[in-house]
Amino acid sequence: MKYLKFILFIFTLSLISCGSDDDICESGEGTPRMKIMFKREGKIADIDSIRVYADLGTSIIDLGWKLKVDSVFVPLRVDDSPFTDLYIKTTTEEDSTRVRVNYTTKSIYVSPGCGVKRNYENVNSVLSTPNSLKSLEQGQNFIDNEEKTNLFFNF
Amino acid sequence: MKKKLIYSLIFSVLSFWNLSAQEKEETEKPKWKYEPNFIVGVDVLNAGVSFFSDRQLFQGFISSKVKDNLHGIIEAGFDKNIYQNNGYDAKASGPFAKIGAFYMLARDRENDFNGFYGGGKIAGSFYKQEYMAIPVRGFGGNSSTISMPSSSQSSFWLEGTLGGRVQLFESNFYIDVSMQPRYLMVTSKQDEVVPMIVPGFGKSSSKFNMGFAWNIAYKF
Repeated sequence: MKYLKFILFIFTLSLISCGSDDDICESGEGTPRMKIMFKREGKIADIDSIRVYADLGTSIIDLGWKLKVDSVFVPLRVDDSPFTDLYIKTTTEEDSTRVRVNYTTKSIYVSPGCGVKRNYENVNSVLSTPNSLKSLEQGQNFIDNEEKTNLFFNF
Repeated sequence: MKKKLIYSLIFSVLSFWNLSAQEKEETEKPKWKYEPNFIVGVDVLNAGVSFFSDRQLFQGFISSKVKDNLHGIIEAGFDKNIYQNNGYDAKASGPFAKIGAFYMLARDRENDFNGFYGGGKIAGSFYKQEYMAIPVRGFGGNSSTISMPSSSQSSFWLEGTLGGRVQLFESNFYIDVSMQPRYLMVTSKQDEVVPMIVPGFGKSSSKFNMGFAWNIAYKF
């Protein structure tokens, strides 16, 4: 009887050990995105429609049409590239224009599950050819969270 | 959290047993003499598995009966392991050692060395690790990796031991099977990165782990 108890005890212990060991990364701990706001005649304004593509190196992702928004969040590349190209258009007829966002990256360890995230420093952006997007205005020149605006689009 | 609770329960139960063991010793006749006795064992299960898996674990122990049901134990081994999961690519290898004691909870009347035991050990590992890839998580599955150069690290952990020892027929050979719930106490870190594998401990992204050993032992 005494032995039986021990066997049971050991058996239950072995059940406890059968947990999954894949760590999960909770959201909000990853690489922050760049926050872009809009200005019309020097004043912060909503935009009727905007479509942003981001060239993330391995693929170009389409963030889709955003309607009546005051800001967009754009992911930047997490590899060692010193820039990310964004393509922007505001109407379906318009050809998209390219905005090149230059920066230096900094790697910050988060947790076993999340691995490493990137922060961006010395952020500055260059517009290739103006379309309805006339010019760019620098915001906060580093990205370590998604709260402050990093870039303004002047329409 | 739940694991932690369960684990602390195990340890408190174990320490109760140890306490009762000590009390018993005090009440019994004060004079005792240590008679040299040794059991040397080699873990054949993990050594065997090493041929078929990425992990190479070789370990053995020397234990000695100190008094009545109380045995001391020293373990040593070498572990070489890789971790390729969840965007990581890492390897670590090095020796480890453990020292501790266990108490025969239930034993054979005819043979002091036969029975079920429980106890605890402290363990340390000094190893070399290299992280070829640590994931950088970006937007929508977009990711890349960074690497860390090879470096020397050390880790220390507490280990419970629960097992049984059975004499093989009338010989001096024993089979010793045990399970070892482990709790990682401290570990050195390279660039703040929590190690994913620690030789002798196993996967270390969570502090709790469980090990098994299936030893063939010889009593001198």
